[in-house]
Parts: sequence; structure tokens; C-alpha cells
Amino acid sequence: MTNVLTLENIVKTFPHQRRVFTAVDNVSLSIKEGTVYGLVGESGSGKSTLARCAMQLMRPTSGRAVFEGHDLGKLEPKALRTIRSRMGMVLQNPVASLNPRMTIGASVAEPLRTHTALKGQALQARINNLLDEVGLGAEHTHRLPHQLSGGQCQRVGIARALATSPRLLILDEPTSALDVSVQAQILNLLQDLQQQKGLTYLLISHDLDVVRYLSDDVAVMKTGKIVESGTAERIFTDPRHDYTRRLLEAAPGHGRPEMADSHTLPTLTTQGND
Amino acid sequence: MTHVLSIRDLNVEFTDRGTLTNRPVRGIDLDVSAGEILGLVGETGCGKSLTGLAALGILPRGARRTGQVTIGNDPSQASSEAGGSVAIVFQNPGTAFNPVFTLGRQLSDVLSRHRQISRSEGKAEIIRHLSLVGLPDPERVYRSYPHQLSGGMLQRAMIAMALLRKPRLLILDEPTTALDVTVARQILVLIDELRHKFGFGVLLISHNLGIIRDVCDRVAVLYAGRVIETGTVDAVMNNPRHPYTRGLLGALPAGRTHGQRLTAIPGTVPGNLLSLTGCAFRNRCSHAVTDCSLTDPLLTETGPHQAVACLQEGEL
Repeated sequence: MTNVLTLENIVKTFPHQRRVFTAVDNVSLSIKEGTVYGLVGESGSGKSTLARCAMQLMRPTSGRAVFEGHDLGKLEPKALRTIRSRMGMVLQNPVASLNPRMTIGASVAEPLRTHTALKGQALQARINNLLDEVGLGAEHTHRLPHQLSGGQCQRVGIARALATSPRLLILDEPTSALDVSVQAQILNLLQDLQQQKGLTYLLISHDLDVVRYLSDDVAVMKTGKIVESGTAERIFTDPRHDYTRRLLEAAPGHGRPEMADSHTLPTLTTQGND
Repeated sequence: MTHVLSIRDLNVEFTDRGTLTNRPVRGIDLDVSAGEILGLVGETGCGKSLTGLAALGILPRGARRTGQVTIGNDPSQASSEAGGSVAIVFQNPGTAFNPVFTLGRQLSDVLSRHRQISRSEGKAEIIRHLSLVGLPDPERVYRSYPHQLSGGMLQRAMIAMALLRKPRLLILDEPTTALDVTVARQILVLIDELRHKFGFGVLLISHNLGIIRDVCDRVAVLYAGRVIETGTVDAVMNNPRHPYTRGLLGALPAGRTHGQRLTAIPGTVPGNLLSLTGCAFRNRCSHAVTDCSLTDPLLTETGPHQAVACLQEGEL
């Protein structure tokens, strides 16, 4: 199986109070075609920064992101834009990620206008087709985001990501803002799309159950580093790193909380939790 | 056991210029005993938060409550006099505090409102409470502004603020939804410890059945402003009788691996409940029969620790 995306020794640092903050610290991973790669970790662990580096929405400080054999960091802006149409991104907050003044149809049309030559009826037909694929009727074309539920907005987000027929979708916390019942609908949809179209996913989530449900391979991130990676089956049944075990034990639905670990308190920070 | 919260036939109605526009809470009965955690679970828009706010008497403008809410031993019928014996902790600790005042100042405001106490005694009392909720270096937390602390620390400070009122009932509205799993777990452990220590009752509002299963003693499942199933956590989680409860449990990805489909509940929660007849869940229910559109089912006991509102309960 070929690798769709390979990240090699990605480092991303930010200047922070006259010092350097390392958000992603030498991360390498490769995602095989047609599989789902889950990235878990707590907020501030560098998951989203890594995803942005993978799409070159942010230039990594060092390291390479190779997509379909192209080193993304070496591409001219125009070539990068063409390549990027083969990657899609679905964001966490479905309502905030849509323009509130744009109809659903216009939102879905945006990536099509940027990346394809579709116009008029052909464009409208493609929009209807995309909405249909994510389980929304054509009647939603003229609605505005506030007239839709959170789950429906996320379906629009997925339709936008699918518009340019990408091979890779980066899903950044796609269901964290949704109710469990709606989350189940979206997870089913993501799984169906992946199987029908042979898509490759990079799934970022802090929810271990969601990651386990969708992923083939899993990496656990902590303070910018991957502390453990392997097949989803192995990570969840036989976690080897202490941090992975702690995460698994803390997940809700895994029994009454232990009284003992309540005294492992967070240390006082002066800069919030980022 | 003594009840710290008793709700009887609670309704919340919204009116617009005298006209009734919606009734999102429709006849809820709930009891919380001292030292007990009751979980209130349901999807967004089921009336969970409104029930919590109505119990406190702090409903939004245009909303009106009817029915009886008793906190401790003082019946406070449709009024907001619940005062010192009940406290609430909200979902997002980052926005629940005022960003321009120190935590010490904000906690002092709460304390001076409820107790006559000198400034130095007040400060000592607040610092004692900050360390009670497991905050290291409480003196420093006292001097800190909200942005200087992490989400988990702010939520602890929020709980300390709630404890200052010596509540008999603590209402927690999605207290861990904004937090990371490991921090969320610490907060739940803290709540569990504190209720044993102080013996207050807890009404825990959450859409996460995993959390409900982990920390609650009893659970009430809300749908469209009604309790549709209630009982001990063991009874309801191991043997859910209402199709909605089953749907919620089936939607959880926990324990399922790649390839298995989740049983999503089709459709959405009805928005306006005024013109509703029959069972509110029938349009999303795969077991619905003709009778479901005519008769609104009442909560009926199905076992020693469980009650369900479903006409088809016996057939399931």
C-alpha cells in the first residue's frame, strides 16, 4: 500500500516571551492509502498545529510534509494550491466555520469556484450532488447556517471538504461540538464516505472512543511529541506508554473515578493552558 | 433520606407580549437526596439546563416557571428566594468568571453577599476553600486573574465559589464538557469527594452518558421537557426500557471498533412543544404505534428502581 501523506521530522516552534515554544517536536508519521490515522492527545499537545503543518497552512520550522510524492514545502504557491485541492479539512466548530451571511449553496460553491471550472447548471448540479452525498436535501441550498442544526452544519462542512474530490481528509475534532446522537450520525457518514470513496483520513480528536471507532492506526501526542503509535487495536488493548494508559483510564464510561488520583493536581501555570 | 431538592410538576413557559410561545419544560418531577448525585441527561434542546435554571429561579427574560421547587426545607414556590442553600457551576469556566477582576475579588463578592464577615476573615475563608478544592498555592490563585489559570483550575475555583455559599444542593451544568479527559476526571473525582465530605446533593446535567454512568447514583433521562425514564444508574444503564434511552446508549462509540455501525437516532428534538399531542418521541421512534400519537405516556414503574414513560414498554 502506498503512503498518501508522510510527515518527516516535523518541528514547529513559536516565539514566546523572548523564548522559543516548541509546539510540535520532531514528529514523523505516514498514512497509508485508504486508511484512517487517528491522532489523540489533550489540548495543547500540538495535534492541530501538526495538521496545519501537514497542509502547509503553516510552514513547519523544519521537516518535510510529503503528499502523493510531492514535498509540499518545495512547491511554488500555484502548484501548492493545485495539490491542496486533493486535501480537504473538516473543522471542529461547524457553525463558526461557515460564513453566517452565505447560503449553504454558496458555501459549498466556494471551493468549486476556486479549484474547478464548473459554472451555471453544472455547478448547481455538483452542489446538489455533494449535499446529497452528505445526507442533506437540495432544499438546503438557499438556507443560511443559523437555520440549520449543528449536525447539519457539520454535514455542510464535510460537503465543502469533499467538493474537490480529495484523496485525504483532515478531520480536526469533527464531532466534539455535537450531541452523542448527532455525533453517531456524523461518524456513520464519515465511515460510509471513507469506504465508498476509498478516502484517507487524518482524524484528530481528544475523544478516545471516537478515535478507536474510526481509526486503523493511532498515534498519541503529548507536549508536541508522539509518545506511542501503532494499530488502533494494539494501542487500545495493550497500551505501553504510561500516558496512553492514563488517557484510557480517564475516559468517561470506564468506571467510577479512583479517589487516589485526585491528588495528582495540575501545576500552577502563569500562561493558561496553551 | 432527606431531600435537598424536590421538584413537582415543573413547567417553564416562554411568553411574548402575553402570548404563550413555547413550553420547553413540561411537568417535571425530580428529587435529590442529601449526599446523592442525580444525573440529568438528554440531547441539546431537551430542557436540561432550563430545568437547572428553573430550580435556582434564574430563568432568562420572558420565561416563567410554574410548579413547586423545594430546596432544603424551604418551599420557594415559583420565586427566586432559594439563595444561599443552592449554588450552580456552569460549563465554561473561562467565560463564567469576569476577566477584569482577580479571583479573590470575585469570590469575596460572593462571600460578602451571603455572610457578614470581616475582610481578613473573608480572605482566610476563601483561601481555605481554594485549598479545599485541591488548588495548589491558593494565595497565588487568590491574586490571579482568570486568564492566568488553566481551564481545570478555573473550574476548581468555580466549585470553591459555589462551596462558599455552604450549599445543600449543587447544580453542575455540563461541568467538564470544556475540559480535557484527564482534567475532567479530576473534577469529577473532586465533586465525588466533596459531596461525601459535606453531604450536599448534586444535580449533574450532562449529555455524556459515560460521565453519568461513572459518577451518578440515579439518573433522569429528559426528552422534550419531560422525564421519560428514571431510576438508579445501574438499572437504567444496564436495562434501558425507553427507546430514546436505548438510542442514546446505542449512539455511543465506546467499545465499538472499526466497521460496526452506530445506531444513530434519526431526526432532531422537536423545537416547539405547544401543539404537541401524544408521545413527543414518536416521530423518531421505530416502535411507535397509532396509540403513541394519541396518548401522552406517563412515567410508570417497571421495577423497584426504574420508571419509564412509554406505551410500548411491555412490547419492547
